[in-house]
Amino acid sequence: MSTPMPLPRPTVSARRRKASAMRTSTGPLRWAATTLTWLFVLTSVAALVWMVLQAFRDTRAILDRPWGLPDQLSFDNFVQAWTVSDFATATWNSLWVTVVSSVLTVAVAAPAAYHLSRHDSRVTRNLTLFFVLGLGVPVQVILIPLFIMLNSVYLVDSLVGLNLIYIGLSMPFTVFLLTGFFRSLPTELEEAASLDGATPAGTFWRIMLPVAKGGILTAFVLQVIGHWNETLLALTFLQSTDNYTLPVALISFVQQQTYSGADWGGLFAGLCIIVLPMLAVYVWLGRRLTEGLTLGMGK
Amino acid sequence: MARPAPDVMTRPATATSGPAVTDTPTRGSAAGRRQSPADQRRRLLIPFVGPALILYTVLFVIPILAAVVISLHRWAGSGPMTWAGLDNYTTLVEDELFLQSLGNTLKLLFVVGGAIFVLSFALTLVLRDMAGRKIVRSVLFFPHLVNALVYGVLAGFVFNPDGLANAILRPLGVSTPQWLAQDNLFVLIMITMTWMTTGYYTTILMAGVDRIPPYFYEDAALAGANAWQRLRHVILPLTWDVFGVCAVLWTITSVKIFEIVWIFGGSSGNGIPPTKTWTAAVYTYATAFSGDSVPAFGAATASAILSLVLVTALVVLLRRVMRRDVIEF
Amino acid sequence: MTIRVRWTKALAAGAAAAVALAMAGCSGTDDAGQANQEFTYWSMWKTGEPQQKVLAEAVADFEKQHNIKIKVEWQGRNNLQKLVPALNTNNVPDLVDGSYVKLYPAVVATEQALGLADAYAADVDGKPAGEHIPAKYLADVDIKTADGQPWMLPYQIQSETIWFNAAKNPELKANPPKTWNEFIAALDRLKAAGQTPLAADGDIAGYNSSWFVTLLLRNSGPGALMRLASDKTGAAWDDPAVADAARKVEQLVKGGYLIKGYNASKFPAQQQKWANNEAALMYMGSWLPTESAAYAAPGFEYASFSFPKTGTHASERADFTGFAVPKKAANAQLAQQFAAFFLSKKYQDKWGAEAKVIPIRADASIAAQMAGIKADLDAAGAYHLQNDGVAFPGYNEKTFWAKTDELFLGKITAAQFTTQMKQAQIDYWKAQS
Repeated sequence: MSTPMPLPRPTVSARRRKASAMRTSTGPLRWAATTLTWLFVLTSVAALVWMVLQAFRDTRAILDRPWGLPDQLSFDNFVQAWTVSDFATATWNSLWVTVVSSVLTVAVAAPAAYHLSRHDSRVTRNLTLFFVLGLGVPVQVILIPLFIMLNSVYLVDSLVGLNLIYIGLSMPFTVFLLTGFFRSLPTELEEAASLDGATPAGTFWRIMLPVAKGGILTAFVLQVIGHWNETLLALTFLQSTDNYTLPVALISFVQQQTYSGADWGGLFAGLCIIVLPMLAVYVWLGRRLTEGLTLGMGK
Repeated sequence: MARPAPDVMTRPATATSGPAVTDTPTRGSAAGRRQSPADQRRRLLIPFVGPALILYTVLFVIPILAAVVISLHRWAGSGPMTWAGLDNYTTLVEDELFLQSLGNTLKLLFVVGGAIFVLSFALTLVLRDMAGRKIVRSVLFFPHLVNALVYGVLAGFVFNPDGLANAILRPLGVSTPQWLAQDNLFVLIMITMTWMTTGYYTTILMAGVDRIPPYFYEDAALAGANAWQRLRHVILPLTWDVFGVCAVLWTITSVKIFEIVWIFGGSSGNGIPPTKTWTAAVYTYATAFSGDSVPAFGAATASAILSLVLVTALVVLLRRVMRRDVIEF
Repeated sequence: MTIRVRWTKALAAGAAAAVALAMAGCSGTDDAGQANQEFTYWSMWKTGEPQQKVLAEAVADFEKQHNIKIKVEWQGRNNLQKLVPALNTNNVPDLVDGSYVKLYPAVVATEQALGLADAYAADVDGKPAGEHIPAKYLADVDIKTADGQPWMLPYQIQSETIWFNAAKNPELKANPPKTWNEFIAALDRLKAAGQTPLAADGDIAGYNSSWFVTLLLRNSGPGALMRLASDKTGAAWDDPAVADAARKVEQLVKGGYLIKGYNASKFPAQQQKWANNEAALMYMGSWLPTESAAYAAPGFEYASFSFPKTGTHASERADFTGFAVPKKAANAQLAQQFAAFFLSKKYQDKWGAEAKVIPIRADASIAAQMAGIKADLDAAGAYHLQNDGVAFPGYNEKTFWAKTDELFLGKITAAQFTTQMKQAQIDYWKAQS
């Protein structure tokens, strides 16, 4: 029973049948809606392309002709952003914080969610509720107490401290997401495993984890996105410029630009540095994300 | 938030076809056959749930309790702390600005929420059998992944009087709107918010619609149902619980909205946004961290805790309203 | 190097995150025990700003002279917002800087500011550092703690003035308007000549309110806004001098002197237009030339005249920017030494000549574009603070600025402004009690 059983999926013929049964409404309304949707999609893509193109132009040119194309492929703006505002260090910090926090969050939350979803008792029900309650808490509430607490153990202005905060604060959402996800998995596998004499812990590691790969990867990618973009906590908890993550570096870059002459070219380059990695992750794992997201949520 | 996820999400998986077997009876019989698995599993409570519980309690719950204590004091963030009892709360309830900020939060919750759900649902229906639906969905989802800061910075470039938006509109003969005027700013934030979030919920809703087994449509088609009837009698009832999850998620999200407001109005974080655009979360932050006057941490935490109470009440209410008999399929 | 340290810590966090809290606590003693070897400075300047370059030079010189290490964080203007939560903790910088209005709520209102008698007494260029600060500023600007020691060592004056391009409008340089009526007449002339008279970035509440504030101080003298804001009965808002200041703001708005779109733009859009000669005048702080130099039109010649008088009062805004030391600072002594050291003529000269802002020392060099504002400052008989020093919790950002915004953006009339402010202030003080 060590081979993971694939999730049941609709067969191709079932999909075809479904599509043909649904595709009945082809009126002008539908045509208009489709056109509008495509128009919207094209505008969005164009906006992104435009932003990237501007990063290759200098401020004067951008202000004079916002529609213009770059004259040459000059990376000056990127070099400026990269060196002056030290986006290099910030990128490394962001990567580190994001990856470590996301891995640990999922590593801690997955077993908890598995247990909470599979063992139904008053204790687990209350624990689930306890976790989910945290979803609604605005982070500003706990900013100050958290600051004092972490400081007492010398973890303010430290990436490790920020990791801890991210992990703790991600618990409600990740547990919520994964609980829903594990509930959606069939129980037959465990039944069979326990008949084969596997211990529950062994069942989790060998049977459930492989099956749950999709959901866990989704939870991971969602954490990556969340932590990569997180601004408020990083802004409060990181004081040394050496520790800045990308959003904090971007804020200080924006400020520097406004105090010492608006450099729109450099600013656009800064925006690209923060947006493009997300685009890369998305292109790479996007399908997983959008499909996995719905596995947990939709059920 | 009395009963959160479970009853929305307890139904078994089987995204495919055919009615599923609920898991409770099987589990019961397994327990009957051999006594150990359930017991063994119970013993895993501590190793499995323990670490998550400790992290969550230490880094989240205890700070919340500390925040409750702070909210009962007057405190400038450091230095002496004086007992204030419930003063911070009574003051807030009478503070017009706080009520206005709370009102803005509710606008985000209901107006933007409504717009998102109408749009997402419409998109779901449009995308259902459209060519290239995956691409469209991916593009729609992407804005959700972009840091709100980016929108704030771009807003200045696009919506300034000489910005891009007016540069497009002027040749068309449209009298150029004052996008960034204080009265329009919040509307602009609401539109941006809708644009950022619609793709996310569309994705979730699409999954809900996708897992409706095809034979429902076939039956409906056989019964001669038109598009509207299919929507009314097949799609809506069968995706109702997904709507419920989305509604709860959005409620929770909307109460925390902060960055986009802070960045949009306040010259990209250099100053405080105009009070007209404040949400409850911005109120909290500005009260504690404005930097322009003596910080009032007691009042700030009190306002945050009131928001928390609001979310809780709304979620409980929502779940009451959204509760329906779940249709098994 | 640092990477390896981080990794070991991360492993600890991963192994047992909860325990790691305690463990890391034990390992985090590296910043203690080295007193007198180094101190920490959280700067309000960002790397690359001209001011930062001068400070960085002073830091390097001081390190060499005293054989110590200064750990500088060039944090930018958010440095004091970060300081407030840090003051509760053991991670307190030894030295911070900021303007009076930002330092006061952060360190003085929280009773965390150390008296700087030592810094004032330290020898700089042959006399105590404190004597390099012009006495007339100290007479009007109260920077004393409860025990009578100053809590701030200023190294720069910020003022505000009405800026214009002397190359484009030489007549303003030759014959600057001195009274409010002359000022309005000048605006009318500019308008008639087809120029936009005034630029303003209406999204910055502090800039918007400065018109009303300065007009009130012109009408009633320094301290008038403090008296007005402190009045718990709100009756002070019935004062005709207050109404007059509000009416003059209304006059500007209604007169159509302000640049189109000032009420619907994002800073620094209008400032850029002004520097591009699309508006003639801008009422702004002394930092404007430094800030706008990068995008100013070719041949732009910065010049300024003092805010017009409405009567006899003629104080100039003189905001200190300077150093403060938190009470909890572990290396306060060294920090004070450095603060005093920075008042040396060498750096003060550079502050004026290279950073092109106004150094605190009267004998320091000054850039050409600052000559006008410096002369106004030197000639002034009295000084006032930004926002007249008003910093009651939430008063500015929640009550006062919300209304001055509406007044300056033309949403309400002067009469509505005074009545609404009166009520808002009564409510404010009721809520505070």
